[in-house]
Amino acid sequence: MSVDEPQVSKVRPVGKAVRVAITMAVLALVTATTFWGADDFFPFAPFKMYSFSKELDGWTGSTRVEVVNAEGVRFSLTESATGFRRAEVEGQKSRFVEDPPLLCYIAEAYENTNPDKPEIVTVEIIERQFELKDGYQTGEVVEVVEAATTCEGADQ
Amino acid sequence: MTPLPLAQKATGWFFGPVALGRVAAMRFLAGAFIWVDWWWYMPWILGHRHVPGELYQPLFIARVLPVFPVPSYWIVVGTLVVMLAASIPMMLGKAPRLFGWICAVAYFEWMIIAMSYGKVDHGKFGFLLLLFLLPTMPKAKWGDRRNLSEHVGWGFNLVQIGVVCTYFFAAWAKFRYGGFEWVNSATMTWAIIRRGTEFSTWMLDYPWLLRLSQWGMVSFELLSPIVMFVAAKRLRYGIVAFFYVFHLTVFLAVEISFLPHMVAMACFLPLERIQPRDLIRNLPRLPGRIRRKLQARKAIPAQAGATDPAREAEAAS
Repeated sequence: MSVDEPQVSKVRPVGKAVRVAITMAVLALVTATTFWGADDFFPFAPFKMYSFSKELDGWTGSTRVEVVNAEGVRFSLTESATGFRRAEVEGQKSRFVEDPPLLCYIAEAYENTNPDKPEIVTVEIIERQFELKDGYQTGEVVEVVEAATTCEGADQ
Repeated sequence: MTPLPLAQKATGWFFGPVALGRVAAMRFLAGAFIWVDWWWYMPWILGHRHVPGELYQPLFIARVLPVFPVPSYWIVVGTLVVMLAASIPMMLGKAPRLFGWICAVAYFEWMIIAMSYGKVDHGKFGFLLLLFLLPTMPKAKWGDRRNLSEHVGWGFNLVQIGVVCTYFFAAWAKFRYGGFEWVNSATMTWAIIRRGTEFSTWMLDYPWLLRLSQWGMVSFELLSPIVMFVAAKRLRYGIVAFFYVFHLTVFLAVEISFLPHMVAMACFLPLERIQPRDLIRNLPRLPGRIRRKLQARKAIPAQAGATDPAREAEAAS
């Protein structure tokens, strides 16, 4: 065999059958979760980035977490201040609305991230809703406090 | 029993031999992305180390397989350290199968830590497949075009299927969640209002253009599986180049980059032709070399392929 001749390493028939089965299983899972699955089945989740149809008439909202600390200062919690993302607040919103004291865990995340800062006394989830007409903001804005709780001494 | 020609052709599609050089290049790219990921692409994952376990919402896989602990400070930091430490020998091809497995498992746990707090991100499917398939491939050297392998061919074929599924099923997810009217909806307008750039905000004045782009996106997503069945290599690379240009456009318009997906997609390309040592040595002379190569190709168009035995052997990749 000359030096330049390419060497091809082959897969044996049994190995081929196993490998084709693996490929088919992956394809079956990704197909099934696209049509019937949900995010819960990650890594086989429907690829739904920007898959919702957006109406340019109606109300659109933006969620934030607002807190008051032991010194009475009110501010919104950012992602970098807690390690808990806004999308995660939105994802678990129904849980927080049902059981507001859970919000104290967000305060705890803030205190873990910023051990030198004053402790947090109250936590609120606020949704700011804008009215849209043809995609333009009409100027009509409503703020709703969706969940609120007091956490004094919660983690002592 | 002699297999039917059709069956033979079908199995050939799964196992088209690929040169080992591509494995070395993909190992390097995958490891490099892991470093970009935790530091720049998804730095918020590390932020979860401070989040109390009560906010952890285990995914289906973690409820079924009781091997994923509730993330704590040290679980998050430890996973990161293991993942980064294993990625370096994997990138350099030292015991790449052992460290590849460690890397794949650690990265999967990193994803569990990322996605288990109420929000799941998409677009890492192909990359996860790549990480779990690289350790099934043999040790490889950069630029090795002489040793071909069906094992490697199968692995990269599955990664490519994952990449194409990400497009193809994204179109079906749009139909499922947004309905067929998605193509005429205001989704792109909304996306640009939310995160438009100086390259895209002007388009808000031309809604028909945005609607047209939605039609274009869905058509390309539905047609993307073609790339798996194109035999002509140039056409295939052309389609992959189109995918990359699509991502560049999306990034310029709304700053969404799908970087891990683009890393996984690189296994469509003949990366076995890259020889890092030669590349660095010849870098200053590269423009001249490309020019000469193009001129040479124009001069002898018919024999260009036949002069190089290694290139012949790659025909199936």
